[in-house]
Amino acid sequence: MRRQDFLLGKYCGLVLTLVINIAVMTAAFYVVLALMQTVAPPNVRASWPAPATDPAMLKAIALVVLELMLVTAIALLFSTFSSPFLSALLTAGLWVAGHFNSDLRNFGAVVESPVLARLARATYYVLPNFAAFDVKLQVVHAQAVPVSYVALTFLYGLTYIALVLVGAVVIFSRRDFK
Amino acid sequence: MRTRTAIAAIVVLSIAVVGLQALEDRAHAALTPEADAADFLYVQSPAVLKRAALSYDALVADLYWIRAVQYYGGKRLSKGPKTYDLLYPLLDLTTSVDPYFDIAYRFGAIFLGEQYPGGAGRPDLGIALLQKGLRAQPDKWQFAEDIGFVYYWWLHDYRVAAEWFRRAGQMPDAPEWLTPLAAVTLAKGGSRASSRTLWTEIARNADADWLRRQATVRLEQLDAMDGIDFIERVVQQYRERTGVLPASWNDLIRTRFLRAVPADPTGIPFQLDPVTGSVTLDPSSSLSPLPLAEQPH
Repeated sequence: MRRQDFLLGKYCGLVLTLVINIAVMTAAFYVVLALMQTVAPPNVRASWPAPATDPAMLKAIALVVLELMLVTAIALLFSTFSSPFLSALLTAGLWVAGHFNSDLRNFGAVVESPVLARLARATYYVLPNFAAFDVKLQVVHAQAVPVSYVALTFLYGLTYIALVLVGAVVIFSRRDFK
Repeated sequence: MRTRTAIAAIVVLSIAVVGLQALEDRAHAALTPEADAADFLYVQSPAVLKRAALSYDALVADLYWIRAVQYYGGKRLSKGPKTYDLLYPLLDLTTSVDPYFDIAYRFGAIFLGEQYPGGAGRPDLGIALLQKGLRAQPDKWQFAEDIGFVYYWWLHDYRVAAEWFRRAGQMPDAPEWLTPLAAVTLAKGGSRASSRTLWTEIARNADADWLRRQATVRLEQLDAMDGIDFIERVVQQYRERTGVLPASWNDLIRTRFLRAVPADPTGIPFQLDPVTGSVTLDPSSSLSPLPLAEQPH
C-alpha cells in the first residue's frame, strides 16, 4: 500500500466517523425540537422567528461538518511531522487563530506600521477562516443564509482541505521511519 | 506523488484558497452586518466583578481597560451607526476593580467627552468618572485639571472650569501654571487665546504621548481657524474690489490676492463656497470637524 493511500484512507475514515456522529446527533436534535414544537403553547410558538424544526438549520450543521473536516485535515497534516500531543496543540492553536482571524484583517486600523498591517492582512488570507463556517446565529434567528454563501464556503473549505491533504501527503511520503 | 506534481498542486490550491478567502470575506460581511452584532456586558455589576476577580484585581482591570479601548476604537472607526452605550459601564468596571487606574479615568473622560461621532458626546459622564477618581485619590491634581478641561472644552462653562483649575492648582505637587490658567480662563474664557494657552500647556506637560498628540492637533485646529479668518477677510476684500465673490481659488490667485491655494496645517486645501464666500475645512482633513465653540469669527 502506498503511503498516500494510507493517509487519505485514514482521513476518509475519520471524516466518515464524524459524519455518522453528527448525523446521529442531528437526528436526536430534530426529535427534541419536534417534541418542543408539539408541547409548546401556541402563544410561545407564535413568538418564535421560525418553526422549531426549521430545515434551514441543516445549513449550519452542514458547515459544522465541513469545519470539522478541515480541522481533521489540519490535524492529519501536523501528525505527519510531529508528536500526537504537539499536533493536537498546533491544531487547537490554528483553530483558535482561524476563529479570530478577522482581527488580523482589521489590524491595520490599530497599528501605524504599514508593513505590519500588510503582514497581518496576508496572514488573514493564508490562515483557515473558521469564522466563515459559523452561521449558527443566523439560522437560530431565522436570518437568511443564501445557498450561494453555503456553496462558496463549501468550495473554500474543500479547496483548503485539498491543499492541506496534498501537503500532508508530500510530507508523509518523504518521512524516514527507520 | 511526484515532486513536480505536488508543488504544482500546492501552488494552484494556495492561489485558489486565497482567492476564495477574498470572496468569502465579502460574502460573510454581507451575511453578518455590523449593526446586527449586539453589544453586551456579561458582568455589569462592579461589586460582582470585584469579587469575581479574587486577588487578580489589576489583571481584570487591565482586561476591562483593553476592552474599553477596543470598544471605543472599534466604534470610532466603524462605518455604520455608532453607539457608545457600553463605554461608561466598561470604564466604571475598570476603575471599580482598580480604583488607582489613573489612565482609565483620564483617557476615559476624553473618550466620553469627545463630540459625537468621534466620541460618546457625554462630558457629564466624563466628569462623573473623574470625580470618582478624585474620591479614590483626593490629591490627584490631574483629575481636577481634567474636570476643568471638560468644562472648558466640551461644556463651555468657563466659570466652573476656572474653579476646577484653581482647585487643581492648590493640590500637592500641582504645576505652577495651573493658577494663572484659572485666572486666564475666568477672564477670557472661550477666547481662542485662552484655548491656545490651555493646549500649549497640555502639549508641554502631558505625561502621555497620546494626550500630547491630541494637544498638537487642537493647536493645529486653532491655527486652521486663524487661517480661515484671514482668508475670509481676503475674500471680502476681493468682493469689495470686484463686486462679486470669487468663483474659485484661481480667481484669488490670478488677481494676486493669494499666492497659492490655501491649505490647513495638515496640507489639505481649504474649501471655498462661491455662493456665500465662506471658507471651511475639507471634510477629509484630520482636523475636521472644528470645535463648535471655537468656530472662526
